[in-house]
Amino acid sequence: MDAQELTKKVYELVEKNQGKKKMKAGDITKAMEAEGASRDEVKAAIRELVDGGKLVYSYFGGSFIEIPHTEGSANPQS
Amino acid sequence: MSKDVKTPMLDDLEKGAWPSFVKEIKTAAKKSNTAHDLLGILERSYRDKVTHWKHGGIVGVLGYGGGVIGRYCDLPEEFPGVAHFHTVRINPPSGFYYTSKAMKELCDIWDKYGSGLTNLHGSTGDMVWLGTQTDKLEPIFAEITAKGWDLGGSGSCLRTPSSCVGKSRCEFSNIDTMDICHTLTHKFQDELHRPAFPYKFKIKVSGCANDCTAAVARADMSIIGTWRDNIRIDQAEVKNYASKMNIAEEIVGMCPTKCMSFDGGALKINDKDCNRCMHCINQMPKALRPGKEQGATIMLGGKAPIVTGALMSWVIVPFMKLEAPYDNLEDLIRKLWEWWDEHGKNRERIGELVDRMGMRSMLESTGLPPVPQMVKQPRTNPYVFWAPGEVQ
Repeated sequence: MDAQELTKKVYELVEKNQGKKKMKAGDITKAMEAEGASRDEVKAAIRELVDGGKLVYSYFGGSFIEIPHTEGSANPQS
Repeated sequence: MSKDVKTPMLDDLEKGAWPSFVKEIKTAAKKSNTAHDLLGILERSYRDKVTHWKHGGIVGVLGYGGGVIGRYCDLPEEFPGVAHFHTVRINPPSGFYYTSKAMKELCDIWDKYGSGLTNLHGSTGDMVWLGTQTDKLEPIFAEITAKGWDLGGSGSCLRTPSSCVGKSRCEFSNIDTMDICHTLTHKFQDELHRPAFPYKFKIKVSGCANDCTAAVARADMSIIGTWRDNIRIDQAEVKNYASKMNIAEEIVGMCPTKCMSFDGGALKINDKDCNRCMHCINQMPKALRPGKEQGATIMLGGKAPIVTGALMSWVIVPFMKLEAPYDNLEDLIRKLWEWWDEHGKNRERIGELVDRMGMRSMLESTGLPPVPQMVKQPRTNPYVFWAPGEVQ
């Protein structure tokens, strides 16, 4: 699997689970390892997606990776 | 700024001889709307006996998964100044040394974009800035990084490593704590800023068993300076101490391993039985010094009681030579992380994983040899379980 394809697969995995299951970096890594990618390759793919703003980290008692969205708890700024 | 609020319950916390955080918030409130409304919402929470904060979320700076802790209040119309009240963690210098110029620069940035309120330092080790809005986060990040600072860790990542002042000021230090802390921070930038662990991982470095960073109780990995040869003794200074203190009672009598004797003339130490607790050296620093063959004891598993009960760290490497660039330490840490990543559940600290899976799994994965110093308590059952490969 080349880097571009892996990045696409990582995004699709997060997108598929958005709103259903919060994905940790470890969950994504294990899923992609099962498809033949190495740990470092997955790490690089996540990094590319986060640095590009397509995915973001979130914290809800632990750290997860999500597609950026408006938070329900976010108040309009004064 | 919203109208003045009465704060009778908070005012009570200004009484007494001790410093008051209420007094500090009131001072900040004179020029900060955020600090002003913080007083209001705190008073309200005390009155209602519930928190009005909502914690967590996706706020942060681009590319980073840590360093900003999102916080909103559930009464934004009543207290608009704290509608957003995000916390920013600034990675401190090793040993917490700041120049006055650096401190002023940081405070100027925080006065410009936030409430002006800080925790110096939070128990995480970072300089903690309390209370800013989402749209101020990127400008804050741009300004601090332009001056050479960085955000600290938060979430399920490596938290900002911290150390005591070590050899810079302390004659007891057996390792260069500040250099170790600084080097590890640079080696593990990815792990610090991009949360990929099951939960948080804290590294604290203390130069000796006095453990000024309280690593044993607070850090997942405690690196404690020690020595493995003999305590150096200056018998002439022992005699001087003998004229001022009762060595038999205060030193020999309080030695936890009873490895010392004093006949009124010379102090003798059976170093094979010494557990390097530092008590005698602390009491007679001119007469006793740590040995010359110095390194660190590596301990694992300390944590506060969040998911399960509190744990104290226990020994996994009794003695490790630590010299720059500390590749041996890095190698061990990466092996531990790999094992934890593989087996850890969400929010399970590494010490809890060892408790759940047992030392055998951790030792097999890291290649560490089992040694008597790893035993933290007498065994609770008489059975020995052999792995299939160990049975001939």
